[in-house]
Amino acid sequence: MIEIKNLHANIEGKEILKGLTLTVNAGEVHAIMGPNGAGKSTLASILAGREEYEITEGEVTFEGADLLDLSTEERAHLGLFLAFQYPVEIPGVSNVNFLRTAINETREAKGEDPISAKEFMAMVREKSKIVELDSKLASRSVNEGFSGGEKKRNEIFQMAMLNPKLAVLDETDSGLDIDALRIVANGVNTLKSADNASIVITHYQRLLDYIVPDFVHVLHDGKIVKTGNKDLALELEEKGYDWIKEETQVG
Amino acid sequence: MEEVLTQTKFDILRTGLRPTALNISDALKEKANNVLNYSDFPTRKNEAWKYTNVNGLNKLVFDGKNIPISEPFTIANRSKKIHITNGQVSEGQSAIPGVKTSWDVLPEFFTDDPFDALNALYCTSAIQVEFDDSENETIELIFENTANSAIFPRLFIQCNKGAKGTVILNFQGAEQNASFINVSTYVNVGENANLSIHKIQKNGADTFDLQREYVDQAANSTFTMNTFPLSGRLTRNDLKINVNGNNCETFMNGAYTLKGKSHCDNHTTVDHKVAHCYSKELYKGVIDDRATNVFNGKVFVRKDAQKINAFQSNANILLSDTGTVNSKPELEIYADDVKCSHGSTTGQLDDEAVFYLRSRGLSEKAAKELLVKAFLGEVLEEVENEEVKSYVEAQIEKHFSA
Ligand SMILES: Nc1ncnc2c1ncn2[C@@H]1O[C@H](COP(=O)(O)OP(=O)(O)OP(=O)(O)O)[C@@H](O)[C@H]1O
Ligand SMILES: [Mg+2]
Repeated sequence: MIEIKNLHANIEGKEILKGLTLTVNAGEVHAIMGPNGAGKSTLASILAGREEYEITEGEVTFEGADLLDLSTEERAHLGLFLAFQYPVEIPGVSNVNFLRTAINETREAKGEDPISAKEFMAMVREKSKIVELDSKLASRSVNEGFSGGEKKRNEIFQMAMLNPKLAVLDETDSGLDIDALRIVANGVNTLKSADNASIVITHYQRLLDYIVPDFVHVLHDGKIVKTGNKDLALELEEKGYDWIKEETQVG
Repeated sequence: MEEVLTQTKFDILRTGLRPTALNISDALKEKANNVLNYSDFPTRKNEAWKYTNVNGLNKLVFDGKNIPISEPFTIANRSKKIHITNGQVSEGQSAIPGVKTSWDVLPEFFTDDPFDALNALYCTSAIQVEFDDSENETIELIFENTANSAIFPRLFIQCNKGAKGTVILNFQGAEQNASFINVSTYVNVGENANLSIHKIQKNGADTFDLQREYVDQAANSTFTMNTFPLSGRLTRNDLKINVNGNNCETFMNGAYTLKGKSHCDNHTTVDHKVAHCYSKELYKGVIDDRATNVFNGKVFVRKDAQKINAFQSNANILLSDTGTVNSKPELEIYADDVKCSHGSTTGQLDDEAVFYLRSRGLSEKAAKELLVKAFLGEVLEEVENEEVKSYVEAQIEKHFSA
């Protein structure tokens, strides 16, 4: 699905990713944890195609394509989706309208016919139910005046609508109450299949009780420094990151 | 006594113009000549024209060369329409009750603006629209410029006591058209009357369009002026509204889309002379390429005009690094019990929003278009006339596909 090899990236002359390597196959869920400022959101942004970063070394192959060579929208057309840590508010642009354009541009890129109004509305109804997003919110301006939790739910709603191959969820759990957390996790699990995969960035082991990862990685100082199974998350919850930082320095 | 100016830029311009064929009173002619004798084209020293240079007018050639409009349009399906082609009221149109297109002598309305003087002396058509009942009839004046010409329409819009009416001023010319449009519009809104004017300026890329509206509002009246400068080399609108009676409502909305080398200048003045009135102004536009935009909005609240609520806002989005905006809201308040606000912003499209939309699969162009439509949508929401609204919406879309 995606293969990230020895990725190095700078912003404003400062190196943030320092040789990151990660492979995700179809059907897998990978969790990435790590201290604040480690570079988790940077990785997500680079995968989505944010232009401020300078890639100095390494490569990323996604669905057989050279990902770093594609525009942001081309990546989306290929099936990459990023749930933002801080979703933007876009006054005056209706959620469902822009999603319809998004779906149609993706279909066009694949040489498919545009979605019919009826099919689209049925899909909005079906998918908003999965994340229990009020249908009023679905048709309001994108994230405008949404609460923190509503914004996160809206991200998962959009993910459900776009049905991506690879979803990168950047702290989609932070700021969620227990019920919302369950709803969001349930949304992610419902959409899980043998053909798609997800990378879940989180600080809390709690989320991983709901979304059970196949692998847990620790990202520290711009690199994946440790990989394990879901038990690693429990260990981190208990012991924090210091022991890993020390281990890395020694190694 | 000031000296009569000789060899002015107005003199040069006038050599290429044909004096009006309409009957104009000696008194009006004298007043107009008098103004022009002491005037030259405005320069940077002239505060009201600081950022707008009209010297290019004298480069226009009114050769009458036929340039057909590829997509002529009318706005309102059920409106009563009058076609004015290259400044002349087209012949053979059936008469419309309340509309007068022929005159014995031009009405005497006059201001001391040199471009108004020019309009009177070279008037190509004088049209009066009068509303006398509450039917809210829509009258559409369609100014088709199918040749490089100099046109001087003089309009008189009268909405009588208790009447309701809508006027659409629809200016259009082919993309390559290079005309001089000079319009003076005198508007009278009677007591308890409700008048809306929608002005579409879809001019050729080399056309100069200078327009003035002089509006008087009587007590308990509502007046709405919606202005849409969509294309043209230079567009200047001077909207002057005197609110003379109590309990009036005044709405001014504008949306503009500028690109290429076009220059657009909206000057508005609302003069609250008496108490208990409400005015609201919202002008928004996007500026691309090397285009330039000027906004100047004055609100006066006179000494005894208490309990006035006046709101004004101008917002601009620059789509290029080379576009410019000069925006100046001005409030002059001489009464103490009033609620007024004004604001002006100029910025770029939100990069974060563009990235967000692109990450969902929208092309950069589609993302920007959506954001611009949302930005201008705030103005269009103020437009009650659905046909005007959908026309302008379609034009905004086209602006991006061109
Ligand atoms: N635009 C920028 N300019 C300068 N430094 C930046 C910029 N963006 C990110 N950084 C720096 O890059 C580092 C990594 O940031 P990033 O947001 O990827 O961390 P993170 O792992 O997602 O942290 P958190 O857990 O707090 O979300 C931080 O030190 C941050 O300050
Ligand atoms: Mg982060």
